[in-house]
Amino acid sequence: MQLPRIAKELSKTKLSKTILLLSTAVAVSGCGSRVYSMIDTVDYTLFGQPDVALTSEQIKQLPYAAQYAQFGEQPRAVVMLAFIDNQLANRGPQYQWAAGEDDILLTENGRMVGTRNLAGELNVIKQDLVNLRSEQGDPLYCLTSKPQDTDGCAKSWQATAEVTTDFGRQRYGIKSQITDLQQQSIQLPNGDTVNSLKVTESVTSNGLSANGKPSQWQYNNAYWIAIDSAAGEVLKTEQQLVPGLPRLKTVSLKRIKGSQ
Amino acid sequence: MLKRLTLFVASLILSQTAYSQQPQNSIQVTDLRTSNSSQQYQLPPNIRISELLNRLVADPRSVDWQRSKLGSARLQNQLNEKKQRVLAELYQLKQWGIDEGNAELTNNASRLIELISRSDFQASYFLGIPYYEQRAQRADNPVLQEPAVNQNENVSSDFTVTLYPADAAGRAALVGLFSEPSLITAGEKLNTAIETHSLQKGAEPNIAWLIRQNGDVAELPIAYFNRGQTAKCYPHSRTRPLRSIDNEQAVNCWPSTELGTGDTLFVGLKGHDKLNRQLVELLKFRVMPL
Repeated sequence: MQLPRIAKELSKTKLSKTILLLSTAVAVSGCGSRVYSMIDTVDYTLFGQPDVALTSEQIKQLPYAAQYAQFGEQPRAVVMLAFIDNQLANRGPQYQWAAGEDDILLTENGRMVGTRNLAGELNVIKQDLVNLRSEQGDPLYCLTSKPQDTDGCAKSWQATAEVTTDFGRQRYGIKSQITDLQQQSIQLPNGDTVNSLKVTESVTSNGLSANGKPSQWQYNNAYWIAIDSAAGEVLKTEQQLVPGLPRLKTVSLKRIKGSQ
Repeated sequence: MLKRLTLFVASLILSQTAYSQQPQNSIQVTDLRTSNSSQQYQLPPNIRISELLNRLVADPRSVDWQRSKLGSARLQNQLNEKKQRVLAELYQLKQWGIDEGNAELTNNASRLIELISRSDFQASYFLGIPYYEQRAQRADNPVLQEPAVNQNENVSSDFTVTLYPADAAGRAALVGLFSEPSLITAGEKLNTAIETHSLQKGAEPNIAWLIRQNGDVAELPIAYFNRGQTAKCYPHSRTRPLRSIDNEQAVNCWPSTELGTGDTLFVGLKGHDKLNRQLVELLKFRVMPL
């Protein structure tokens, strides 16, 4: 599956042309075919090409919310917001981001809760995150709901991450501890400077290593939540949950709340 | 939810009028998030799976997509026939055991007859529905139309979809000739499950069959002498879900070392490889209790 994709990447046209094609496709397509048009036309992929870098003008022309996404040392890609699934109690909406042919990233309150089709035998990414389940409410939901009044928000959380392996599934126990909250001004790729709440999180992941022995991994994650007029939107993240899915960095290109 | 279903039914009736010349497909929806009862709907022509699911499901996070299934009445009939053939073979084996005075074989055949006759089987093209991929990619999202048996046939199909609630307990099943077939908590290591659950006399001691929730099957060497050998895997085919599990499709593999949610570990009869494979072909579609 990976080889045809690489071949396709080799024949890819320049980014500016892609943006033009995207704009044209959006202009002529209805809402119902939104995702197909977007993916058929814009082949931003998470693998196999240099970092994508859009100018402020190109970002303005993006028809949908979008963000840069980068896994580990992989090239940076643009992922487009394809769907918003409605809000569940204590969870917030779930966003489905799309890139390339079928690369899918699912986020809730900025946290990656699922991926599809990122893992592959020839990829740096060895595991797809099938789901992230918890009986508890994620503190990030509380923090994004009221980033200017965080006193009542829990500071710890536990979940189970289920990931794909070569033939089957593997589970990791996830423990999260919010270690720091501070206001910070950040600059977005479109040139805007936004006041944000920086949430620092320490994550401990327990699972089986490649040799089948119980192991533990530790990650420091960070989320920047807007506290401007569109408060609550997660603008930037640096996060990792499991060893087979490298560290993900995201930053907002075109904001969700601004584009609605 | 009720409003959404009403709109869905209304849209289906309207589309039925507009496309009355084309074969009329239907779908039976069993939504285990709300009840055990099923609802039958007429389908507009050329509807894709994601469009159907979008009309049925308000919040995709409330559904366990890995466990949900999509099949058809035609496929179910074929599976039922297969079930009857396997049962007939097991009854023959049991009778042979009785005639030969072989109590071990008689007892084991009886256990397998009980397993098959008391289980529910749901024939499925999709064992696990790739919901997020389907709504983003047309290639993963076929039109709900079964292929015609012959070229001039104008067939209609009765599809079935079963939606499972998310966050149900994660369990795996040990079935077949374990001394005590049981449901265990998902996450248990395969070796632990095999070592801590004894087998019946006359059970196949060298090979166990791991049936993943998504229909993929692995033939696992489990004896001390062969445990280090490569397993053989038989991936589920959505276009030919009932195809035989034979060596032509086998690929060498190293399955993950733990039993995942919805997985089944099966041990069959010693010296009856063909029958064991037929049992596995059925057990792929066994409905595990919630």
